[in-house]
Formats: sequence, structure tokens, C-alpha cells
Amino acid sequence: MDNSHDLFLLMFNLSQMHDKGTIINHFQDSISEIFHPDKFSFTEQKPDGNKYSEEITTRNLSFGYISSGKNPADEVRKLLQNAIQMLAVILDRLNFETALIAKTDSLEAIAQQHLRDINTQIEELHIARFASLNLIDDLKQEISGRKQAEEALLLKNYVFDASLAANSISDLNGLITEVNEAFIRIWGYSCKEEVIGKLISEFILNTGDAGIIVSALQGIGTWEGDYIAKKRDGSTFIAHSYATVLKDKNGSNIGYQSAVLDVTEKKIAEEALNKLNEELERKVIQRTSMLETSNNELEAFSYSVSHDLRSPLRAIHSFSNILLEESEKQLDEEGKRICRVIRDNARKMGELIDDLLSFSRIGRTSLNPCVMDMKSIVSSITEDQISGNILTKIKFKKGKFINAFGDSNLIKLVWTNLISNAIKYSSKESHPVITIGSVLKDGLVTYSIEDNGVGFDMQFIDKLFGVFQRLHSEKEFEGNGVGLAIVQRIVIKHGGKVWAEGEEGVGATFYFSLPAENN
Amino acid sequence: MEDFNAVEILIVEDNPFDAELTMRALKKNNLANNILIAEDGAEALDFFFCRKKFEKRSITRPPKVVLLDLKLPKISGLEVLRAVKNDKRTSHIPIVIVTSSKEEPDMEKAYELGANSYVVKPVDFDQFINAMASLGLYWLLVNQPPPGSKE
Repeated sequence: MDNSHDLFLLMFNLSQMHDKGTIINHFQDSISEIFHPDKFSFTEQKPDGNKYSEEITTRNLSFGYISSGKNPADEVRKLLQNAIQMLAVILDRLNFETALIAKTDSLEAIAQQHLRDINTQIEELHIARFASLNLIDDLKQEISGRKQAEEALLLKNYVFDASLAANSISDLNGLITEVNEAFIRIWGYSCKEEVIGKLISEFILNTGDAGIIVSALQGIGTWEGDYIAKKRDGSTFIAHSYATVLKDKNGSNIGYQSAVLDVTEKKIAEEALNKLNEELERKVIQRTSMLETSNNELEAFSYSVSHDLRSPLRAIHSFSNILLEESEKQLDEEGKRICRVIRDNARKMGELIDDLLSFSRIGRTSLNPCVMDMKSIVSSITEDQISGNILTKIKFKKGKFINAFGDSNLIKLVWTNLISNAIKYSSKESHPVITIGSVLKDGLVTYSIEDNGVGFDMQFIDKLFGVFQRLHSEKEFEGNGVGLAIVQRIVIKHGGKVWAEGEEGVGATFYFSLPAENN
Repeated sequence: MEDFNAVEILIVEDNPFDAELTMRALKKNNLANNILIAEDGAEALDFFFCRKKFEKRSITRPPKVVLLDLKLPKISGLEVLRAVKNDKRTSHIPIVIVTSSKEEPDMEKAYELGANSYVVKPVDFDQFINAMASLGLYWLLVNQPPPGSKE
């Protein structure tokens, strides 16, 4: 039949189509054409109220068709049924295809999402890996740093322990948390465990001391001083402690530390030294007082000599004179001579007393130092001497006069003695020449006075400056041997030196040195 | 010496020999007419202030000069000096310290207390005589005594 051929073609064409709506429409249209003039209307679903000519249900599809004419022939009905079944297959297949595509799409989307998720995770893993590598580097550095810190700490611990001072660390309650070897040794313990955990006050004899130290540490934060320490066996020693408070980064107190030295021996030595000093002071005061007493006694002695010896001397001198004058007629030559002897000796004794008093006074008086104009001092003395010695033609040669530092009254006495000596001992010369000069060297001025008189024998140089020592007899030259002793005493008191050179029959030169003007 | 108001020179000296020598010197120069010798410091003060045996003396009739030794028994020369110079009635009397002492402290003290002059007794007889004579001559003849003294 042609219808079945056309129908077959139609179904084949329909199987190539993909759109459900198009397929059904084309089917509907084409069926009607094929079975022309019969007309068929197909609906997929049962329309409301209309009566189907036939309803075919296959594969979950329901088709009803309405025939516009009479009922189709059985062959046509069979063909229609087959066609509809084939349509149902096609539609079913289309659904299946659609569903498959959708499923495939959705699966694809899911796969893509999964792929993205995986990529993201991979990326995150990379990042994490990087991070962990950096972390490893950081950790390595940290470890190295910690190692160094550890070594430094070990060194510090070693130093702490090796210190010869007894070091201790305690908490704010005064409980000892750490000590070094020196600590247990000084306090007489056998190991650190015996000490750690004990209160500081257990190591101090007087509880009051511990309180003072702690309040100082809580106040100004440091304490240095001595206290009596108590050893394990109860014996004591004197501890010198340097203690400070320990603070954390925020400045809050977290404990105390101290370094202690055993100064018992040092203290004993100090005490002994102090006692010695006191003893010396006492002795010095005693000696000074003794010296003062001695000086005072000397003063009284001098005064007594000055006054009490002179009075009888005056009487001896005067009354022998009176005898000489008033009893002239009664006295014979011998008597007169004896009176003269008495008188002369009394006078001499007076001079001796004066000289001795001068000599002793020099030792007792204090110097009034000033710059002395030597030229004027010497000039006034030489002028006095010349005017007093009109019979002797003395020639004075004066060299350079350098000023010096000293007590002008005493130095005047020096010059007076030396110059009058020079005059006296050259008085027997026909042309006495006295040369006076001075030289400055190394801050000292050396004065010299040279005469061309009788001179002296150098082998007796030691006696020259002795008290009452003379190198000539009274008969040759008068004098009592105190003059040069006075000169020496004065010059030595000024810190200078005196010496002489001489040759018998030629002359003598006397030297003395004094500190120069600017010393 | 009966009339204590007529004293021209008062010598205060405990040593009789020195006193004798002084008298000799003054006599030699005709200055020894009205001389009184007091032998210690107490007697000197009694004289100055008209006490005890000098009751009858008038304080307005002082000596022309006093030769005062320093070392005296009972009251020392410096004490006498101080007492006399501190009293307005007697402070004008010229007082010459005549002493053996050449010690500076003595000289300083004496001048401090108002001594008019300080003479050291020489040991030498001639010098002593000359010194006393000069003293007498000066104070009795050359020097003008304070007004109110005996002419």
C-alpha cells in the first residue's frame, strides 16, 4: 500500500527531528495528508469534554484522535496504531535523548565545578606548602636564635656560679630562688638545695637588719652596707652586701638580688687601724702638750735669766766701779787692777747672757717672712759699723745684691754678726777689705762675705759654728763664740745652709743661702 | 721723806742695789732732792691712791715721773701700771718702765698698758749711770709735766 510507504517515510523523517512540538505537528499534518481525505486530529492529552474516536496509550503517552469523517478502516486503524506507537517511540526516544543531554550537561557542570574545586584546592595546597616552607625557615631562625640565647644563658649561669661574691636571687617574699657556689660556701652550707626556698632573714643574725634592707629595696631599689650574717652552724661573720630590686619589663618588682662579700677580716683590720689612729692622736696631743709645757718652761727660764741674772751682775759691775772711783785713794795699784778685773768680767758675763738669750730666742720665735731688700739691709749695717769703727779704714766692696725671702730682723742679725766678725778679724790688717756679694742658682740665693783678715785653719771647720766654740783666744780677739752659732741657727731656720772657707794668714769667706724671692 | 706731796720722782724698785745705784746717778746730777722709793707693787699703789701710810697724801699732787720696775713682789710692775693708767685721777702721770727685761712680750704689754717709756737697765755701770742721769734730766727738766703737778 502507498500509505504504509508514506507512513514509513514520515516516521523516518520524524525520527530525525528533535523538537517535540514540531514532531507532533508534523505528524498530525502529515497523517492527515497521507490518509486524505480522512482527517485526523491528534492530541496528546485528553481534551476536556471531547470524545475520542480512539485513544491509544503507549509508553506513557496517550494519544487520542478524532476522526472527522467516519471511522477509519481497520487497515487504516492498524496503520494509525502502528504510527502512533512509532511516534510514541520517537517521542520517548526524544525524551530520553533530552533527558540524557540534560543529564550529560548537568554532569558536565558538576564535573567542571569539581575540577574548579580541585584546582582551588591545589592552589590552596601550594600556598599552604609555601607558607609551611616559610614557617620552616622562621622556625630554623628561631631555633638558632634560641640556641644562642641558651648559650648566653649557660655562660651567664657559669659566671653567676663562678663569681667569688656570694650571689643570691629571691622572690618578693624574701624566699631564695637561686644562689651560686660562693653563697653556699660562705654561709657554710653543703649544697644549693639546702638554701633554696629559705627566707633571706634566716641568713641574717638580727631580724631588724633584714627589715631595713627590704624596705630600702622596696623604696629606692638599692641597698649597700654591712650586716652580721648567720652561718649554717650558727657562727657569724660580717657581710658587705650590694643588693638591688629586680623588675620586669613593665617596671613591676619581681624579686631581689644581692652580692655579698665577707669583710670580717677587713673590719677587724679597720677597727685595729682606727684604734691605732686614736692611740696616735692621743699620743700626739700628749706630746704636743708636753712640748708646749717645755716651751713655756723655756720661756720662763729665759725670762728669769734675762732679769734675775742681770741684776746681781749689774751690782757687781757697778759697785766694783764705785769702789774704783770713790776709794781710789785707799786702793793700791793691785787693788785697782782687781776692781777692773771684777768689772770687766761682769761686763763680759752680761754680753754672754745677751748673746745666749738671743740664741735661745731664735729657736722660739716664729718667722715673719717677706721679701727682703738685701742691698739696703747690708748697707745700713756696714754704715753703722763704719761709723762705730772710725779708727779702722775698712774698704767695703759690694757686688750684686739679689733679694731673698725671709725674716728681715733675723737676717739683719746674721749680717751684723758676719760683718762685725769680718771687721774684727781683719782689724789687724793695714788695708782691710771686705767683699760682699750674692749669686742666684736653682731658686736659692747664696750670699758671701770675704775678708782678708787672719783666716782660720780648715781642719777646725767643724768647731767654727759651735756654741761657745772659738778658734782664737780672748787675748787675740774678744768674743764669746756665740755669734756664728746664732748665724747658723737663723739660716737653718730659714731652710738654708751656712758654710765657710778659710786659710790662716790669708782670710776667710763665709757663705749662707736663702730661698730666692719668688719661692 | 716726810712730805709725800713733794715727791718728784717715785722709784718702784725691790732690788736695794739697783735702787742705790739709781739714787747715786740722780744725786750726781743734783736730781735726788725729792725722791721716794717704794719696795713693792702694793706699796706703790698705796702711794698712788693715797692709802694706808700715804693717807695724808693728796692725789692731786702727783710726782713728775715714776721709774717702775717690772719684777716686783706682791703686785707686779705691769699690774701697777694698769691700775695707775686705768684711773682717771692718775693716768696722766708719766711712767717709765725701768727693767732688766729686754723680752718683747714685756715691752709690748707695757706699751699696751700705757707706759710712757721703756728703758732696759744696762749691766755696765757707766751706761747705767748715764741712762739714769738722762732719764732724770729729761723728765724733771726737759719734759713739761702734766698740769696740776708740783712745780
